[in-house]
Amino acid sequence: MIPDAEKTISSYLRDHPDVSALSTRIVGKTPPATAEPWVRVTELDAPAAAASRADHLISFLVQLDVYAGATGGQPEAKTHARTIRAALHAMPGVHDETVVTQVRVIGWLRAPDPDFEPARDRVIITASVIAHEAPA
Amino acid sequence: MTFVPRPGFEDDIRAGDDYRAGMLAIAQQAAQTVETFARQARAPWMPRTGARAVIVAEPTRTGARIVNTDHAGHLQEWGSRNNPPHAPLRRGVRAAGLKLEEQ
Repeated sequence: MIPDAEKTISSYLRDHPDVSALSTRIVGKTPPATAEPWVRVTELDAPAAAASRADHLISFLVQLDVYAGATGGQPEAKTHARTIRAALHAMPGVHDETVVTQVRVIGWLRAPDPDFEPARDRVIITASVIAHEAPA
Repeated sequence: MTFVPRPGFEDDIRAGDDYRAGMLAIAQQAAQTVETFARQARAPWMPRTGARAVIVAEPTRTGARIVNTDHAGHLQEWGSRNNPPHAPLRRGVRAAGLKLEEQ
């Protein structure tokens, strides 16, 4: 089977000391309580990498929405996003059942979310994550 | 003999009509793939009056671009508190075989 990129990335970030020091939450969907900051991890796409035999090396496209809390504003969103980005950069390696061979941040967008009133500060990170299942 | 690249060579190529036509042709092909992903997200959500399609490819001064004409295109692409990101542009461009680098 192909790896579960959302699960792997979320677990990795939760365990990362610099990320856990932020007191943000790593989640798969918008949490019910939005006063505190959070990071929503969404797997957008998962085709086989171009040079890979079928369904071994997967080229995941992942979006991380790094939200500020209700009072943190742009500085909090930016600080958290920069920390997340640095952690992603250090991610290649073996993580439980997944081997991550490459992580590249290919998009970085400051895009406040207009579904909040007032719009909530957020930084959207788009990352390319190359990974395969760890050998049994 | 030493090969010395002409400094303005690439700029000259990019300024040519053939280059822009080629870029537009590639963008038009990729737009079809993007359109498929947009339709999977049930676009259009808020269709723009007069737009000939949800996803269009159009020439620019320096090449070509693919545009989501939907008024809610940003929500389809990036998501929000109440919407997951569908990323038709990013997914479509990759699926068309192009290298995605956001700017």
